[in-house]
Amino acid sequence: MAKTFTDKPIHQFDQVKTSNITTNLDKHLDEINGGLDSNNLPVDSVDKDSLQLPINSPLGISGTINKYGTIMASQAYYQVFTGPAADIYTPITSIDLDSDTWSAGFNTIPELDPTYEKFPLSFDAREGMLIGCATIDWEHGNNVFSVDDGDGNFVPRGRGNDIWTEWQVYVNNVAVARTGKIFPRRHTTQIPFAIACGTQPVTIDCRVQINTWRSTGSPAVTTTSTDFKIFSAGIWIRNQYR
Amino acid sequence: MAIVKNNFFEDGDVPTAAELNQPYDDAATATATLGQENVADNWITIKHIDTTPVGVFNKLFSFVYSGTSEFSTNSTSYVTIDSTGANPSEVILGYQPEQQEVYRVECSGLVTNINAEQTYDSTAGPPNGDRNYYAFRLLLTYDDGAGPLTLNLGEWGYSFTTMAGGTSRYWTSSNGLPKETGVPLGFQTFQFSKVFKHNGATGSRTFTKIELQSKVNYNGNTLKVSRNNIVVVRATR
Repeated sequence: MAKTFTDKPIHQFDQVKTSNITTNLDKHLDEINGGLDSNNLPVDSVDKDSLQLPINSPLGISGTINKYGTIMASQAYYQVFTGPAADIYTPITSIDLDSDTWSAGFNTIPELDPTYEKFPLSFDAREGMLIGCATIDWEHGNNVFSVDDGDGNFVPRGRGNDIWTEWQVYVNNVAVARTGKIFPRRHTTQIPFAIACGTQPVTIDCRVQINTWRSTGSPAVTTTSTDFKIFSAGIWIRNQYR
Repeated sequence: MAIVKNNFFEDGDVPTAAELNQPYDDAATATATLGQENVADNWITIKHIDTTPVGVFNKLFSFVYSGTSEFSTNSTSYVTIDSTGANPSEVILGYQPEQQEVYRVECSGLVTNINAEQTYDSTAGPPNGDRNYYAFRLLLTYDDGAGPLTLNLGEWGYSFTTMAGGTSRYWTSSNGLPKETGVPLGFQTFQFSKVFKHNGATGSRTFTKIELQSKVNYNGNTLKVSRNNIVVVRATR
């Protein structure tokens, strides 16, 4: 409401009709009883304490996968993460690219290792924006083999320098961010992303494409790919309401 | 507040003074505690949010070192990055979180001309290639009333060279040589982020600071870091 005026004005020396008293009071009280709006409150008058306290979201799990969230008045945060191991130099999963099952296309983390079946982050979003980030600590390094340097000397040389890895983030199975090719090394890759959403169920996961080949050049060792390793992986998301 | 009731008068009724005054008195009392049932839907606008004292929804804390001086370490245990020797990479927080509120930490920086003396040791037991690794962590210092305590918020790793670490790099008798086992990957960025939630009671803990720390896995290798920054977003509502 903006302003309320007296519905049945009463003038000096008038005889008051009692039903008009009811009518006049009802008009004002109706505003207090659910009609107050932005015109009734001064600007800059809502502070932190005017808004509801954050509440726990129902998706908390812990163990191999940690998943939790907080729902606030203007936004909600959700996160899933796994790893690292107690020793930061020990991977939480290693994929033998010569014998394990993996795809030449994009692999979800649970596809690479079923231990992480619950990794995708699922929650009920409210209409607005999803702003988040995936952070994965992974490695696909190259090999070293003894190679004849041309003078009959066998020296160590890297093999597989052109293998590459690419990570993407998917929201409800739609790719929303990608890294491009990352060449061999251990790397902590951070992938920020943002996308509009409705009031709807949302599932976010990250997927990886691995390009590798069996190295050659060793006179003594069976050629093979190096393992693909993950040390930790996590996705956090901020759902900013409309 | 509660809904304010009115008396119903019909023509011919003779209201008393108390009956006439009652709705005004009730309204005066009730308007001191207006609640959800008193306001119309969608009544609030962004101009009603008071942003003068602190952020109502979010508050930002940050540390930025944008210079070119290098912090250098060959420590195998975590040390706080300090590129100038008098400006440690830390964000001073100094607040008491409410229950269930979150803070998200984002961090990035530049690794400069690192030196990898040895990335694989064929004479040691497995995992021989872990010497190729270095790592960062974020360390929270907090106080529950009995002095400062620390909490490891997260760790993230990188390799000095392109070589596979661990034991999966297939080796020959030539492995372990300090040379020709990969060129150090210098002048590369590092970056990571994570969200944390305070599950304790409101006001039970004071967050003091968050430090950015690093270490190497072999003290013959040297990690160097120049510019780096930490951003902490406290999300409250």
